[in-house]
Amino acid sequence: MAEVIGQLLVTGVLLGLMYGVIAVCIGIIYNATQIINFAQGEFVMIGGVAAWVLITELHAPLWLAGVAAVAIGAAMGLIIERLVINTARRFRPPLLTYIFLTFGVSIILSNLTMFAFGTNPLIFDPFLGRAPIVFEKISTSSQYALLLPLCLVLLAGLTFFFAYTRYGKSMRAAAVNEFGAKIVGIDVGVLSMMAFALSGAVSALVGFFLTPITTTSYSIGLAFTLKGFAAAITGGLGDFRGAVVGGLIIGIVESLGAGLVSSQFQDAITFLFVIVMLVVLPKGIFASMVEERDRL
Amino acid sequence: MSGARGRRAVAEALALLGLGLVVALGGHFFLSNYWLTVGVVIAMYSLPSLALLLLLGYAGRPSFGHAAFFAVGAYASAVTTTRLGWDPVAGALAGIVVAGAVAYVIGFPLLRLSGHYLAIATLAFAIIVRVVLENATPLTGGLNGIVGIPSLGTPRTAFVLVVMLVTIIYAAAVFIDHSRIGRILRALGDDERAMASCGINPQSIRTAVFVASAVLTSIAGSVYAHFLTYISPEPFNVDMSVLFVTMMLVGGTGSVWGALIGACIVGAIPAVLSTYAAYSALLYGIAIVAVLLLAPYGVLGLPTQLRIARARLRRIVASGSKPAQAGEVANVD
Repeated sequence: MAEVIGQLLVTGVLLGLMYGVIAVCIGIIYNATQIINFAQGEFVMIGGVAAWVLITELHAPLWLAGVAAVAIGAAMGLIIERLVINTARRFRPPLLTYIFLTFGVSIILSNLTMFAFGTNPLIFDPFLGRAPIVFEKISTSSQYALLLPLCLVLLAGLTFFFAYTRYGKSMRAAAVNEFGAKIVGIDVGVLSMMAFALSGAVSALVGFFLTPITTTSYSIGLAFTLKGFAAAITGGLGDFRGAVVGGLIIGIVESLGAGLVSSQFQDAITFLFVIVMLVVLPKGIFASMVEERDRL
Repeated sequence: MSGARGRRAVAEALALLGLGLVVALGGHFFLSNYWLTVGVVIAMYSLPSLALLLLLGYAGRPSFGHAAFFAVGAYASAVTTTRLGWDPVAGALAGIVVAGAVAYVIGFPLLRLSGHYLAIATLAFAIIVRVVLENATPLTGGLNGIVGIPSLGTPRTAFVLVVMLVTIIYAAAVFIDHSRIGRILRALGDDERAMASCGINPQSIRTAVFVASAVLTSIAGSVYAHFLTYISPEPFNVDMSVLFVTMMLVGGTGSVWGALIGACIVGAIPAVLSTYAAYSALLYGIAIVAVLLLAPYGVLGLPTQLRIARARLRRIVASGSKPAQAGEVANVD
């Protein structure tokens, strides 16, 4: 029993780290623009599909597929920001409008992918071969294990970006006080573009790493949006540490729910947990920290 | 209700009833079975469209989960008529009771949320309902669904029946919209503190709107079950919830008529483009984005939008000066 739980916990933590990264991506856009991007999961999907095209159709090397996934994710982010978000911004619509808008974008992207690549799941070989990694009776596929360094590197990189670079610091400033940021000469429009590009690129990279494990297809985006958002809310929207902790919680709940209760009810358990979290702690675990920031 | 406002309400409701009668009779005598079927589908979907209009237009709350209430209505009708031998009307009433009760129970905690929090919560709720329908096999038949639900009859009788039902509901909605209740509901979206100071509890009104929207959607679900005579959990997915949202947004959220117009336009898309049926989800996505970017007040808001644009053009021509950039005014903080 202990081994089963250990196994489930390992899977949950690895899944959770990934949800955490997606939650951070949602937070990047939220902090820069106050918009919740309901098309976030589509970046994960598109990253996986782009890599699949390069690897299986064009026989490109792995690193090139990764670079292409990141580039296409960033480009999609930019296109969505310029074509949709920036156009809508001229009307100064209520924030609710952006929910409908990005949801519409998500439907368009997933359906276009369906017409281009069909409904079959797409997959390519794991990066390090098929042999599982075994440690103390707990085994995991090598691709799952790769998620750990990937997420840690991404989180370290993003932390560095937001703590030490000029643009990262401007983004944090705009999140705290957009008006004040404008006064000191920060171009909020540029920040919005950067946020979408960065967020798209990182999410697409996650999709690239994930495809050998879960496969990718046109319809996977929404689940990632929902779970990423669930993680973001569990930790506190816009708080990056909270996003990672929230991701871990969602990943573990999902893994334990599927393994110990019922795999058929896996989604129901995860989303019931989300609803309970929303109702009980709508501002997330790190609520006090976020509130403190808002007061500044 | 009295005076000019009362007369306007009566006139609008009568106009709707007249229109419904004309459509029902015209359809009965002149339409082919194919178009009658399209008509039933449009009439059926105009109820969830109205439900979401109430919720967003009055309570300012979005829902991406109303397919769940549609499914509750459909399954209540299917289970009570095929397993318990109930009358279809009793089955539909059972659906109304269950949907209303579910909406009341989840509405109380959930409606304190708003914006993206509520959007996610309603999505999550709909996913849970679908998982339960798929797995509660003894009751719902699981993935195989339920067959042999009593039929509404030929498309001709079904059309007349459904159009009249929808007409009566819409006429009632128009009447309520212009009444004191309608004004209270409107205040809900405007200023809740002022409302609370008049001794009206916004939270309970909001829950009531949510329950009403669930009930309307459940009625449509019952119609769906009896019209198709077969149901399975598959169609009650996120796409269906999005379809309802699309109808409401396309029509415009300004008045009850918007929900009807939106349902007619969006509901006719798959029928008119029947050879491109696979593209319908894509078209809904494009419709949402295009409407919000080009006509944020929906089809119903287009005349006003045009009038404002024309007035601005006239002003520019009269003054002979350089036109102001669209973003210029909006960007002033």
